[in-house]
Amino acid sequence: MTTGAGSNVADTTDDASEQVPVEPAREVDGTLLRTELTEAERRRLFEEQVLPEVDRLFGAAMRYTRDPTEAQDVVQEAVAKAFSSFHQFQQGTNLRAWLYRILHTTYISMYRKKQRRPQEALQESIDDFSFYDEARTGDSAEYEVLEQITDEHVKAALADLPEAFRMAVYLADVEGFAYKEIAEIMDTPIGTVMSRLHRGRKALQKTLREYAVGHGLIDGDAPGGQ
Amino acid sequence: MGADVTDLAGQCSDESGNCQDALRELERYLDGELPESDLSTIRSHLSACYPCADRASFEEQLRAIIRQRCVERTPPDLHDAIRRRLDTMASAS
Repeated sequence: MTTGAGSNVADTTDDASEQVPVEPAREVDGTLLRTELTEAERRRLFEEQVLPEVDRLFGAAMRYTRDPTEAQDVVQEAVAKAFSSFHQFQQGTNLRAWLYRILHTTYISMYRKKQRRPQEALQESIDDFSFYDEARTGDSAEYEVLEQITDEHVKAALADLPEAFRMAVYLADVEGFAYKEIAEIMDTPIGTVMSRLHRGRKALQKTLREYAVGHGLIDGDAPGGQ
Repeated sequence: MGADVTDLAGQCSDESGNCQDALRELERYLDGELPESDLSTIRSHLSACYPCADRASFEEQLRAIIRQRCVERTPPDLHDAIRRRLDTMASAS
């Protein structure tokens, strides 16, 4: 990531080390010369680009940690780490994916050790579940069933998913990241992302179905409901 | 995924196996991850097959619901705490 900046530094050290630095270049071939930014400029750029993402990062951290205090700690720590390594971020590349990667590793280093539950898998049978088919069994139209789902239902159903599935589903369905970006954020192969998404979504839908049955929106005796 | 694909195919008027193909690709299609070359096949199937289109629309709406229901209110002092943290880091360096 930093090779571009490194070669710029090397180019200027030949016999020009005594030269007065030129005015910081904003952009060269679309790349900001980060090494020439003053501390104040770096801080300003960071605030301009990263602080608007804090609210969304907090939302992600809430899904990761499931606790507001821990979520704030993770976001603060992740933003501090991002600031320390901001000189390595290549302007014009994917800032959000870079930030979420930092958030992800920060969460893991802070909380995985004291995780309440071990890494869990999902049952094979989840693959056969279809919320759509189940939602059609009740008196309400299937779209009305969806409308009745509340914030608390969705958050609780996500919280219920094993960690790796929860993160993949959140990053795709709420944050809108592409498979490739999720693979980078979670440091897993794309095939793993796809299977976690597929099964995670099924499991999430199954929990939502249970809420719908509990509220009498769909028929709990429908086939496949177990 | 196998079971519901087979079941659903029974509801479709299309007997050429296009439903199975479409449903196999549906998740990647809705995720915007299907290669350009495969898009026209699934799009033309969805425009012609009501059961598959209805299922696709349900899945799309479900995703929209999940996205809308996951909004969090950021604690009011988080931004200030972050700025203070950055100030501390700047003065330490």
